[in-house]
Amino acid sequence: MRITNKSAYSKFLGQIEQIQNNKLKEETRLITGKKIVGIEDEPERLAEVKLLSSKISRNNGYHLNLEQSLAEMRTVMDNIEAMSDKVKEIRQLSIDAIQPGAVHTLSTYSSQIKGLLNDIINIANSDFNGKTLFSGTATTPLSLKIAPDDAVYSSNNLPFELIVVNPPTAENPSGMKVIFKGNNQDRIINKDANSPEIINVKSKEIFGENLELFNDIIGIYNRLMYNSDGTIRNDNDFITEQDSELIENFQKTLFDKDSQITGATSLFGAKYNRLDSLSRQIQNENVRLNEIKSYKSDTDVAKTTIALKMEETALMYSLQVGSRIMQNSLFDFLK
Amino acid sequence: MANFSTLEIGKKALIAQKFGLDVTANNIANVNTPGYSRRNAVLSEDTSVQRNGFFLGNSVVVKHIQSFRSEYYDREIRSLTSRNSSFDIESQLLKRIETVLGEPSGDDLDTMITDFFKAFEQAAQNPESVTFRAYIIDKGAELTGRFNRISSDLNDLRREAQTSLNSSVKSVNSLLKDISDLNRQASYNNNTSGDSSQQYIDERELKLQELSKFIDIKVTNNQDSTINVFVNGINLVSGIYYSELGIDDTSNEGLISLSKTDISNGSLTELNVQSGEIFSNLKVYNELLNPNTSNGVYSISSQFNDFTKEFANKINNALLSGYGLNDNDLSAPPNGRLFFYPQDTSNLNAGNISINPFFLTNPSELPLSSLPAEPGNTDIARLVASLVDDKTFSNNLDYKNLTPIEYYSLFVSKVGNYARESLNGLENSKLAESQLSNMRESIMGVNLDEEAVNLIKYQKGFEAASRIINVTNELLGTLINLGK
Repeated sequence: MRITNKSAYSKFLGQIEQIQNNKLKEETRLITGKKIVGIEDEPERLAEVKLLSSKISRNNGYHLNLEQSLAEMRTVMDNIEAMSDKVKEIRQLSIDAIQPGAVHTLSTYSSQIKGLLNDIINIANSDFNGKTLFSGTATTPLSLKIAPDDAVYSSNNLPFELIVVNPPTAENPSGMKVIFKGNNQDRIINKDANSPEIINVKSKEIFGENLELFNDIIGIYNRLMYNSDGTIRNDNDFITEQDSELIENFQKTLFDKDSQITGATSLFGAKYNRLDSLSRQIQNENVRLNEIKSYKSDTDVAKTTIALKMEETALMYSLQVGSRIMQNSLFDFLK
Repeated sequence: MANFSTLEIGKKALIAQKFGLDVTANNIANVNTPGYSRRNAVLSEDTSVQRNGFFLGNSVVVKHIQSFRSEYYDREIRSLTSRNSSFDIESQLLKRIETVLGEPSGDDLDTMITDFFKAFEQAAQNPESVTFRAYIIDKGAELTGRFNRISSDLNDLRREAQTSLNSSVKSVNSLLKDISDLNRQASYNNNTSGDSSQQYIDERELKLQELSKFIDIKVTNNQDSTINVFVNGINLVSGIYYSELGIDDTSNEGLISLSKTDISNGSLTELNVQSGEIFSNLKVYNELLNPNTSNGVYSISSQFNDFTKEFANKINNALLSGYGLNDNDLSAPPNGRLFFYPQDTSNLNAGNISINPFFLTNPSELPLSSLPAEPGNTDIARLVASLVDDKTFSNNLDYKNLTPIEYYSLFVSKVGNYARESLNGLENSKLAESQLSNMRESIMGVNLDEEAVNLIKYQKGFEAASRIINVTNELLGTLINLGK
């Protein structure tokens, strides 16, 4: 083939342009750390990377959800345990109170029991990140509902409240009553797109459908604080056998309730462990997904560096050859 | 008599060798001139005369100037130039679309969509918190803003294609006029000297190649050295006459078309171009970026609008049955609480999608609960969050059984495939053009070594012819001195 002056230059320019393009691409890969630097590079792989990124991001969301829920569940378990301790203390006090030597200190016992009752209510009203823990889906004061009959005695915006009903009755001479303004609904989160999980312990599971636990404690308090006729017990008023039996019964019921709480706590603990394991599983899955994503989308530094070096070498030699393209012609040798 | 005839032979040889030198010098001078085809002085022995009973040649004359052009390569290169331009315009456009979509980066639309769904997930954790509801609205506004910007950028690209079309048509008209002018020059030379000037032919070929960048042309030659130019069978240049092109944008469908205006009678004929810049810009305007395509024509804008509409409908429908934080006394979900506007979803597209202004000022009314007076209920929030994995997201047959993210990824992948096809096409077509250009160059290009040899050849010829005159002069001198 006949070679002309222009054909040599144009081919050279085309090649230089191609090498420089390739070099720029490899440099971009190294700078960005990404193998796919344009959607036209590997469209199918790009789609795969997008799906992986979305999956990882969603997993992160579920993981965050689970971590928040687990932190909340830990608080719930701590609180239940604290309430259970208080119930045990009340039981012990009620046992001690009906011992013959305690006759002159019944009011002290009853005060202590009232104090513990208040402690339990305070714990039941505790919150996690502004959400009350035992009030179902009514987790803020805004969504609490109070029965109209109780509203007149209520003085706060918390799920559980100890009110004093007036006038008192013979069965409840103190008029004390614990009211519940929340609900017994499940609080649910998505642990993935298609499977929900309940993350709360409901009031009825701990305190009974009609807050029997509180009623029992108030019953003990009433029996220790009041005589059978409803008058406040003096230091010299002996506790009757009937009162003793009643207190004993309340104490036994409390024992059953405490066992029930322990049972609910174990179930909740099992759920906690399951979610904790799921959370770790999601975290591990994300580690693997990130690895796959990295394999699919990230620059293989060694490979890219070699490719870049190859392009640089090609460019260097092309430029050297370029100076030779502007070679001598016959004119240079004609005198 | 004989001596004078030798002088005549020497003179003719001097003239012919000098002409050869001039042709060579012109080749050397035009070694870098674009479109120049090398020339060669074709020498021929002058008519023989009978002398002493023998026929003897009567020196040398320049028979004609040979020009090295190949109609085959010219035609093929024009065709490839046209295809190159098409691929080039399309690949540039797709590169721009890549930037518009923010691909491939972490700042892309699918990340925003995922974050939007995650916001519902987080709100489900904190159903009674107005902050988390406001966060959903923020994420929604961010998303609609992105939809709007992509749509607006795609529209800008479409408008750019139209501007580019107008400017291309002006260039084409100017080129058609130039070609007809060059036809006139070539024809004049042909009529006056019987030989057309190669200079005009070379220049015309350059113009034809430039014209091929815009439209795919076919060229036929006439006897008088003029040419005719056709596009898809329609004549644009006929010898010294030419027609002008125009853009017709009066179609009801919002499409634009290319038409030929006959200068003599002003009649319009629609042109269907098959490649070149104008073809690609028409394709971009009427198809690729046309938001209102029909009949299965693939359009990126239309596809993006469909995605936006389906996305908005899914979210709106899921939220329709929900109750807000303060919906305590309602027996049915309140009307008019669509999350995405405009309300008339048939008109909803990526360009006009926005958040219902009601929610911007009342985030607490975002309907995340499935029951009235149950603000802590998260059924609707969780339902929306789970749409991220909804395989029934689209009714479009091409995107059936795909989640929203899969749908969008496939959309991007389709654009990517389109871009790759264009780039591959461009690369292949450029390679073929480069090979053909080299082949053509090997025929018509100037080689300085060759010209140096020619220079020596004609120089020596000239020197030898001078020598003939010198020798003849001496002979004549000897003869004249014989009588002294």
